[in-house]
Amino acid sequence: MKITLTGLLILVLGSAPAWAILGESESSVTLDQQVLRGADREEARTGYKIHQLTMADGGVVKEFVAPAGLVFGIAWQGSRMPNLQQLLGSHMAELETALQSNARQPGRRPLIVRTDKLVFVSGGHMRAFHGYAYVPSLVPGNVSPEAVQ
Amino acid sequence: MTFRGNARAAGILWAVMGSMILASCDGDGSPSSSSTSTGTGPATVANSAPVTVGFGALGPSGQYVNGIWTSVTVCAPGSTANCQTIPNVLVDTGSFGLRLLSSALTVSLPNMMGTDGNPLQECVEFADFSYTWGPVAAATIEIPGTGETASQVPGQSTNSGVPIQILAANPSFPVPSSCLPTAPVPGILVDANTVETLGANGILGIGVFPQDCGSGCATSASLDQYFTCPGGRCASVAVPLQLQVWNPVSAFSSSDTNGVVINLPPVGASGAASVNGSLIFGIGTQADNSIGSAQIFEVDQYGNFPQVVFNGVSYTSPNNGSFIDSGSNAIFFSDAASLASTGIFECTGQYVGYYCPASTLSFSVTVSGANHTQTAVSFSVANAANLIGSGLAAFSNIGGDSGFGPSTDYVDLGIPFFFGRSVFVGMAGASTSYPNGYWAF
Repeated sequence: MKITLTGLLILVLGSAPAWAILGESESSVTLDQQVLRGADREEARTGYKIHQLTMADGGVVKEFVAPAGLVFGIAWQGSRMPNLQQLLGSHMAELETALQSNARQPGRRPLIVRTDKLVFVSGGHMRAFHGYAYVPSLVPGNVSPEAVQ
Repeated sequence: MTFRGNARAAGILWAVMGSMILASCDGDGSPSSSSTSTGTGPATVANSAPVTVGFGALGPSGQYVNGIWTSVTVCAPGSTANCQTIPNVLVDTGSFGLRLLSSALTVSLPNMMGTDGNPLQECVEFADFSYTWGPVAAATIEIPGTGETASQVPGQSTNSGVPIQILAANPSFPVPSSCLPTAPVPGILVDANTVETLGANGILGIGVFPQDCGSGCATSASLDQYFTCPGGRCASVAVPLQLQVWNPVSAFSSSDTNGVVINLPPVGASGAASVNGSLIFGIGTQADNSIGSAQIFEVDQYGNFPQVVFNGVSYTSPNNGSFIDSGSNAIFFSDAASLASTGIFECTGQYVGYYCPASTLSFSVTVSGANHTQTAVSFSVANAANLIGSGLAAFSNIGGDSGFGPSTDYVDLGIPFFFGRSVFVGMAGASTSYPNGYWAF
């Protein structure tokens, strides 16, 4: 019985929604690390810190954490785009609303969204993508949004 | 945009394709010996194809300005009879390999099989949240108006076909969520598998890389780009290079495999209804593709300029990777906020993302190659809403945002950069001097 219970527990924990990250606590970085299968390196900067997740394929995701412990920005580069649903978390809805209200023009281009709640850009080309996102209200007062890079 | 796939035709096509499996596709992925060499070297063939900058497949109402189009012929591998020529295919130096809409295809092409023996499927994502999804097929690729033919990937069996992607309007399998940056919410992720959403019948990717993924997909399935779907359940798979969608230039049977040249004439400040130019295959292989005095800029491992400088700010690859891309229909650089002091405004409404200055402005970026060459590239930016609203299709002076501030900006030299130039795209691996490939202009 004990074994079965433990197994159940693992099953339940393992299937918990691994939801992160923008606007969530620093602990959600660990979830991202698991979902994205990356190695985490932490780096302190003046007024914030960076978790840099490096994937096996060379892709890199950076998460910018304010002293209060919330993730205020993310940046990525790699040969594929990362799982942005995972990285943007609840802020995906803001992105969706903004994109759905824009008439889409044909032709390939960077994707840029700038609202009060979310600033987002996705650019690059096949085999080399990059992008950034931050939540303006969460950027620490003494840190420039330009730190998200 | 409306979603109008040709469901019936596509359904028939899939039924045919599903029943065709070529034994000559290297199912086990092991390289087979080449049997193409005759000992006399490749033949010299006509190597210049016409290209047009115009509205392409969507026509004027689509307002797809600055698209560059050519025709491509695909044949069942090795066949000279079972062929079809498809017009309005985007000439794209920013991608690698041929992609064709299933709705534009009437010729039957066999599936490429993955190493597990199941038909290979591919999911390709673009930075603007559009994606293509569909099977990988084997084709002989010909460029109309030239003698250029690609019948197999280098080193593979004669007439085994070159892997291309079929963009499936009605796919046999739903697109796997793992390959997309977000859930397929309508209006956010764009399924670019129809002419309405792709704006073209296909994409001819002739950039610096021979394959559309490379060693990352060969060694691991973790990039979630290639899939097989045994029992209807798609899972990502590792795919050896020779089964990946392949840049046809490097598979040509001629000697013109080391790159391409795009020649476009200049376009005046008010634009043109259409512009005719040429896509020449090979660099320095024939009289018409000599590199002459063009300056060479080796790209880095990402296919970017290692560095560009704009307004005193240095943008470095890969985080702010800058590049030349005939598939981009404007020069995307800096951002409207950073350029406000110059008189740049962002366009509004349907032209958002382009720049709408009150009067024409001049800019310059300095680009650097990995081989330590550098030069200043000058260009003008006029009011995109006025230009596109004029009803013309080719403009040398459309610009747009690349980011939201200096830390996120980069430079994408799209079609306006190509007017009045010969732009050389040297393939990675084709030159010992520039192993990553290069651009020259």
